[in-house]
Amino acid sequence: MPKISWNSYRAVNAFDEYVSSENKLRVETKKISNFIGRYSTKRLQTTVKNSENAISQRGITFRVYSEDKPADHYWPLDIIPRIITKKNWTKISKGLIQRVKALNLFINDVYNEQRIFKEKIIPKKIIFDSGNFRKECLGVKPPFKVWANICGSDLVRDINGEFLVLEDNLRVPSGVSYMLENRMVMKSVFPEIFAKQKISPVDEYCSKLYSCMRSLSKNKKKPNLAILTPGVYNSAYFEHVYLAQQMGVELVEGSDLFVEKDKVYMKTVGGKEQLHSLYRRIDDLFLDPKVFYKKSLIGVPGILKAWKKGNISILNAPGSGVADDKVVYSYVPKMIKFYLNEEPLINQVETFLCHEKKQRDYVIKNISKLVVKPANESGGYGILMGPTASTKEKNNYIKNIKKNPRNYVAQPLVNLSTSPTLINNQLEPRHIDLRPFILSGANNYVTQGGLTRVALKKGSMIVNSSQGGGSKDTWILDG
Amino acid sequence: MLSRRAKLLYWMSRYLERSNFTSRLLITTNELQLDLTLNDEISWKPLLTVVDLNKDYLKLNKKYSEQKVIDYFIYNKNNSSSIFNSLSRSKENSLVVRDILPEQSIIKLNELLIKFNKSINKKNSKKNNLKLLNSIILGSQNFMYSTDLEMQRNIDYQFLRLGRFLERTDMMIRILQSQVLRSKQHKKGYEYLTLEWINILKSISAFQAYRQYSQQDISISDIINFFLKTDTFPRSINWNLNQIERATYRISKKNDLLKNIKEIKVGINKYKIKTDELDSFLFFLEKMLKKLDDLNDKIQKNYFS
Repeated sequence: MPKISWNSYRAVNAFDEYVSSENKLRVETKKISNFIGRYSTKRLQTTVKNSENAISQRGITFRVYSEDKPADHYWPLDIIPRIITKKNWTKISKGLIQRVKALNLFINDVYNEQRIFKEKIIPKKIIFDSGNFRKECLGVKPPFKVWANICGSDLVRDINGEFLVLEDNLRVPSGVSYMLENRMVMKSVFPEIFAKQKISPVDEYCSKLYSCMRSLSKNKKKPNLAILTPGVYNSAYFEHVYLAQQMGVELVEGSDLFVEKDKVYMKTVGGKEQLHSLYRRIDDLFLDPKVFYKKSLIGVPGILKAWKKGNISILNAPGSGVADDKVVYSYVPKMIKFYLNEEPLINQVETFLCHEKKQRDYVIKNISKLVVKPANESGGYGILMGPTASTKEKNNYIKNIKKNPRNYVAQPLVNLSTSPTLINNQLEPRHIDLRPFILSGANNYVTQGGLTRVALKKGSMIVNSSQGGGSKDTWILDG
Repeated sequence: MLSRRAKLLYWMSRYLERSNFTSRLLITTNELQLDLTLNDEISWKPLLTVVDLNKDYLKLNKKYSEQKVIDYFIYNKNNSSSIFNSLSRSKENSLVVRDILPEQSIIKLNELLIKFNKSINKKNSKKNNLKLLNSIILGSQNFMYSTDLEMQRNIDYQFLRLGRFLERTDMMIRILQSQVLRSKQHKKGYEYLTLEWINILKSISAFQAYRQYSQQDISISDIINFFLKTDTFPRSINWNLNQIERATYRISKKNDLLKNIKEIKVGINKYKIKTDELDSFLFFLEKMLKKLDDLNDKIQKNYFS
């Protein structure tokens, strides 16, 4: 019976998580690779089938809109896990907490004292010009002065294996439910490994999120908590339901809520019930049609005023997105120094700001070597991959940069690390990234690992599931 | 509990129960036909009549045939009572209230849906159809079993029960109607009438319970009384009305729904069946269905609007 072979596995032009540049298995992955190496191709196929069955039975899906039509797909999980040592992860976790602390202090500063502008660390204009700055939030002080209670930071590893932050998602980061479901599926298909290896559990995320939501509520005795979803047609609806289920809180839509005397209530079968803490999974602009987008049908009229009066906590606080901007990202190391007087424990990717003339000229001249991104987009949309783009695409992009330089940043192409992935029953290297989730409330918490996303197409670095990406379970391995 | 979600839970439960009972009706009719070699019209027309679908069916088909009626009841997208539609709606609703339902219930429901969707593209032999119908019965029961074992006895659970038992009562009345209509088509002195009624008992897995309950020679009026009045068998109408009453009471002690339920219960328990007056029995069943409809409207108004 043919077996899975590591001998023919070769890493290409990137740091590989399993093998060194000499194609030798790394010490930390040896136990797992040996285990997988004992599998026959047929047994591995059966394992893949089992994992697919578990995914369909559990109804783990994600929704993609193509030509405005929704289509549900089963969640793509590659059964070869991604491995990070506990020692390494502890270091990264500290770096992430440091980073999110600084980001929260920054957001609070922007909407209150504005020291960072006064000290000329960041130009005020850049922030006030940001599409995510909300003047309506000026003067608000949320509990613990924390604005972004839930942050999903994307990490990549460069050619030397160093973890770098690629971006911070501070608005409504998604993916955590898939991280948790991946683990459920992996435990069911590889119980033998879990029984023998010290793989850090990921389960506590939902109880930590619950504690975080509860810690923000004014009502300490019996607070009503809820998740606000745009509805069943939203692409992340699976996650909204999942989180509500795991926390035992209500899953509400805008039409289930109303505001009376600056307090937010739910319409229940027994009449109205006050809501104290709301994890909203809709964008700021749709949250309150009285203040933001007037035509929003998924928001709650008057909720912003209720929040400003402190009658309800909203996670993430409206206006948090001001730090979720790729221009602001470039200033995070300076923020860490400014607010915490510390050096960053985790580095980030060098970023060129197109609104600064010198840097813009460099970007335009070297566009073929760079990755250019819109400052406010997420989900991998609108990115120009310089090395592979056509001349026409590059010229169009340059026009856009010149038209609205504030909206663009550029970064050198980081060759994302690779991890062995099962492609047609063979192991092949595929590029990956990692999205850990960081919670901030009364306490801070970082997930054990996170959601590893994998670009399933050979050579591709686009890991988003909406664009053909897959996922892996991330194992934080002790010993 | 949110009104919108209570409504979805209630209807999810109704649709799932409907798919269960529709499957049972189809299996029984099929068995009846095999046992008694009845013609297609006598066998299948009553089924269409009791759900008001006779006209719609005849628009699509010239005559009654086993295969066509079964297909119409299982897969037809325009048939609002088809199993396809019941399961699809049940699934749609379950997506929205997934967080309320136990994980195992969702898995059971998904398994059922996966099996059903696979059957859509398969050749529909008689054997395949029966296998599918049995797996729908089993799948929906597995779902309910898991909610019974794993859900808290809170308001969510009561709405789930309310939907389930209201639909079951409705379907039980329709099952009785279908057999009365079938009986009316036979000539006087038809020798297998009792056998047909026994078959109906079997369709809801009630024959054994009926024998234990009855302790006398089998008679049609006795069977009908068992269907209507016994309060110890979970598919009798009276038993289901008791469950509806209990769920309603647990949702809210003060509500005018209890009055409606009591009225239906009294009607059922007081009714004296005369097997030679089938038209008046049909009229009575129709009246009970109307009262159930009114009850449903009131539930919508009180809790869901």
